[in-house]
Amino acid sequence: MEKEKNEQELQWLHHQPERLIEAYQPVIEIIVSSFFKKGFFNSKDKMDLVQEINLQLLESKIEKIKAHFNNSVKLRTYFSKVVYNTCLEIARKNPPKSPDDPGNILSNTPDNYRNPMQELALKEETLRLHGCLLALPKSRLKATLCLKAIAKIPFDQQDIQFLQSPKTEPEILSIKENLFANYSHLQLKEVFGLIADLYKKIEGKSTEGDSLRKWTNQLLDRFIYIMNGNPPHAAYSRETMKTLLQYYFAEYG
Amino acid sequence: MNTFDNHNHLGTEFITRYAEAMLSGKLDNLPNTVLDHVESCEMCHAEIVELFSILSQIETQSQSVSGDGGKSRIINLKPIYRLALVAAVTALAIFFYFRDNPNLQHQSVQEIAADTSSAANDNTLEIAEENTSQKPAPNTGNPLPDQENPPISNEPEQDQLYAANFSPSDDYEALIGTTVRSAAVTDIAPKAGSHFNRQEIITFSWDLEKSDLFYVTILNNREEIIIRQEINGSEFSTSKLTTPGLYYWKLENDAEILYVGKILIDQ
Repeated sequence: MEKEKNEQELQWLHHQPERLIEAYQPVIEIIVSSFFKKGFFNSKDKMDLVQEINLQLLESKIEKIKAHFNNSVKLRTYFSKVVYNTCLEIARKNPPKSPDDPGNILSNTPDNYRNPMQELALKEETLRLHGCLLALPKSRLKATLCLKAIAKIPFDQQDIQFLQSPKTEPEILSIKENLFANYSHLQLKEVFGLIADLYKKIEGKSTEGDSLRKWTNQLLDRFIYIMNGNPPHAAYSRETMKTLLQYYFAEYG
Repeated sequence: MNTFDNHNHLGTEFITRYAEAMLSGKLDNLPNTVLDHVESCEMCHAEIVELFSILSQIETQSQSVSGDGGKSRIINLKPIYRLALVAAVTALAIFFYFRDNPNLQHQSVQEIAADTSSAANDNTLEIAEENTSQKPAPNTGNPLPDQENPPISNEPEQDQLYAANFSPSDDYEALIGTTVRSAAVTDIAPKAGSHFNRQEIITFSWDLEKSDLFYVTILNNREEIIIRQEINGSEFSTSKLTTPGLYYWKLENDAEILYVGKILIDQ
């Protein structure tokens, strides 16, 4: 079904581009809305912006899609990227005056209640954070452990299941004893020391707790850069990112 | 297309392939050079995450929309899909028929199926139209209903529309039952998911620690406002929900949404 839909859309691209643009109006609206939610285009009307993008597509961008699209992904995916880039070009000319403070949706008190709109915003932020981790398949496992460690979030069996072997038994046991329940009383140095011991065994090379902690902070800074956007629309700091990590791991495990 | 552009970043092809692979869980189909590049490149990583987030939202929305954009159009389908669609619509119509007419359950299924499937004998299927394409389905139910309106007709086409009136809205489903501590709303009625008849007078009530000026808004499943009422008390009644379907209601004050609930109006 999905394949036939894509073929139909390809036909439209080459023979009835205006029909394709009509069919993709929901896609354009979702992308434009995502920019509005981030605080861009405050002075503009959403539908005016949708029309501006429609116009740009009809005038030039559809022809570029025709020329460059090579079927390696769904047309919808490629089209989304073109529309996203178009919105970004417009956004860069009018960046938001002050990036949003994520403190509006995050709180350090875990039982804090948010209103429904804040709840939705938090859901979208955790989805983006999920994307940050998902995009790193090679270091995802290590990143998950280290991010949990830096935010002092208890580990669970799922985090270590692929690292368990007879060789790593003592280190895994030590992690289970110390990091599977609340470990806020432990120093970060001790926490990263336990993880470093495990990775020493797995990777067979010298890994120190301090260097692992440094790597984690660099990763955290990268996630902050991604979450804040370019141009920036949010103002995450290490502290607010740690809070977001708590929500994220509570939802995604 | 080249894997990398002039600035040694991933080109559009691989950015899109990467985001699509994340959605389908097939990252291991990508070349190692691409995976390694994303591990080390903050900018490409950021670009991929943004596209992934957009595609996830589009996928979520499209799951609740049938057709391309919800616009009025004729879609030609292959016979097998047409048959499958006919079967699905028939099953849905039977389900709603029996659910809403429990006394008629002795009537033969074949009789009802014969009625409803006659709608799908054409070679084309007309998708019900409306203009807000992101919304789940065409609740043609009057945004400002009139109690004098005739009841929904029994034309076969209406069976599809009837089922469509109950398609949930993703936006509002996510908010159902949420309350805010700042306003401490309690004793909320009706309970989320309550059923009512078309002629019934429905009373919405709540209890709040401090009295205030509130707004009750009732929306259909396409998020169109049916009723919006300013209230200075703790209840509101209406008999204007005459079209069967799924409705959402929200209680707001000047600053925020205090509660979101849903009700169903049966035939």
